[in-house]
Amino acid sequence: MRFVFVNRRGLAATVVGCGALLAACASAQGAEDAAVEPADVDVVDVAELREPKTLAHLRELEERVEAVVAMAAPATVCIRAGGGSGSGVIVSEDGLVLTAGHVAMRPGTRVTFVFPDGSTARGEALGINEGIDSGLLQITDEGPWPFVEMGDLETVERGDWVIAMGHPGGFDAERPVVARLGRVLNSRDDVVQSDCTIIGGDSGGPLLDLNGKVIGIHSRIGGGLTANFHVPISTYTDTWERLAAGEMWNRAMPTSGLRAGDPYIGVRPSRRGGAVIGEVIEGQAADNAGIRRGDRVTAVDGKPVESFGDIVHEIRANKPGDEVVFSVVRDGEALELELEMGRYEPQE
Amino acid sequence: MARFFATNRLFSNLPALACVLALLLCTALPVAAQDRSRRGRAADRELRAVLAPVIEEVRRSVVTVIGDGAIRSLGTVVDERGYVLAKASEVAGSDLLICRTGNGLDFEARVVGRDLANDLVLLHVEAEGVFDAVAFVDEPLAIGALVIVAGPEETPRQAGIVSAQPRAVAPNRLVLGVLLASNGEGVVVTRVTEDYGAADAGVEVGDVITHLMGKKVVAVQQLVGVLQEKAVGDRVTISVLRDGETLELEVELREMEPDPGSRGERMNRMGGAVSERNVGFEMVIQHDAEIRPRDCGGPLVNLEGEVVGFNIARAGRIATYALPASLVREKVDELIALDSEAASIEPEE
Repeated sequence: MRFVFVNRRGLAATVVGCGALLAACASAQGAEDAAVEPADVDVVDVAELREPKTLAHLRELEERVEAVVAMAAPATVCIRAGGGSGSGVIVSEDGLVLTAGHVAMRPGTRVTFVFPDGSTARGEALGINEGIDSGLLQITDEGPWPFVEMGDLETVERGDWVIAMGHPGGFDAERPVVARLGRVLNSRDDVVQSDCTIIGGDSGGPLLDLNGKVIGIHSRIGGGLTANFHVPISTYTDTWERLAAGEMWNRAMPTSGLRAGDPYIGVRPSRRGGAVIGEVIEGQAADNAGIRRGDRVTAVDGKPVESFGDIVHEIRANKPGDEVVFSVVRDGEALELELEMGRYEPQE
Repeated sequence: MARFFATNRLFSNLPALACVLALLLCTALPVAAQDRSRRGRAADRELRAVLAPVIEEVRRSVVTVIGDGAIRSLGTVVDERGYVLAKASEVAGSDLLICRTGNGLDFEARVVGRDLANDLVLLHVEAEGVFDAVAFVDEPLAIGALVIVAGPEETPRQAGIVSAQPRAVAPNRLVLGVLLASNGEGVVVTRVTEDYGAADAGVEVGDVITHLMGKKVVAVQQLVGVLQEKAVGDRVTISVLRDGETLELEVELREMEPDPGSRGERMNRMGGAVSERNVGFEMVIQHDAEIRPRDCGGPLVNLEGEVVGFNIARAGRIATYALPASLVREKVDELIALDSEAASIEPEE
């Protein structure tokens, strides 16, 4: 089964990922003395600037924006991985870099960081939460590195001014970092929306508040200039240990379709999302094992799952005929169901 | 029910690197039905009202340029003798050009001259003493500086920030419209792209290009080198070998247009119209004021009310380009000088 979501203009929402063909990592050194202290910016009363009433307010806003841009630019890096180009922001002196999950791709991905001055460093992907689109990278060359501080989403309100930075369209030495101003339009646990316009290549770049703290990471866009979506900073802090440990979880549904002979159990996802069974196909492996519509799968063979994509990923790690244990919750009760992996046969 | 809407992930392709695997990597994100009234910078009327006094002087030097009855662009009075600067590509092709002031006065305009390198056109209206001219000021602009797009109205059209340091924006490459491969004796045409000069000239797949402008060609790079020296619309003669016969064909050079179906270009157009001419400028200030193509041709103003640039293109989803003050002054001086020369050699009647 294959999902193609289209946006409101009817364009297929696609990303072309490229195989790892990055020939050679560029030389590593060059940014060693570039370390700066973060947030050398006076703390500002954000509420007062939310609705500027006078030119004096706007002059203050301008001063803040200029200061934040100058402070954050050295830590806003271009990320080259797997033949694509995204952005990221360094958040620690020893080179931890926040980015989008789809830029980091998978744990261990080798990446090259390009700094605004054109110097480069090497590193790799740590953890990725694919569903929410967060990712963490580590610069493996020796620091110290310029960095900015992570903010607190609790302090962010609709209407707050925010600054988007990144490397749209890839690194360009003539135009090393690009800044945009906007407001928070919506802030939730799973997504922040702003009218800071972003585009391809900005993915993974920081959304900063007027105090120069990262409150989001650029993820995706829709039609219209107000449809700019950012991964909320709260998910990075909440799942920091998993990201740092190089876990990959909350997987998206695979994009390649089933082929004859693939491991198969015969279930469809619930429209409510999560690792919930929406439909069980009669006579197939899941049905035979006693899996029922509405079951929430918590683990497959002891491996925790959080999304339907996670379940599919675990199924695909097996062969037809393998014995697999599904841990599910049904009506508040935890069950362990033994399943014999089936085999996909396309219907005529 | 939650609505699924537009989500395009933003990881960009490095076109130079070959793709070996194409993934459909899409996500859908349920977001409450989009509330159009939600506060956003673009819709920020209050903000623009606060900015109104800043452009109070400047806006009186801005006109609307109307070509054959339709609004084409803004125009900026750059000399009080009645010289108005506008965006050349937006006013091209109009038989009757009118400059309309903020209070509704219409003046017929004459084209003085163009600077095609920067898409500028200088117009002249018989309105000496009617307008004040704006002064283009070389103020250094930090990234993050607030900038205002002025029209003739009291309220600014838009506001934004300077997004990047000034830079040149290269024009699209000039192309024949063929894909080529070298075979030692010449270069072989492996594909002819529709809507470019080669297709119109009758070039066919399999033709071997042996000469360009009379010079022998053995490598693709030679062709590219010659094309770099040419301008849009120039015609070049090529000799091709087809079925043992040599043919002479004349091919018009056209700009290579970005593929509107490409992912990058689709994203670039998500969220509004872009100027038809949006590349090829000697120097631009990139800012993020979300304007329409017809808002080009007006001044870019800083918080002090100084005119720091001239809006020349809506370049895409994230960018508007303005020509910096020094470049505009230089081009205006050149164009006005041409007009004075023309006037001085006009025979007396």
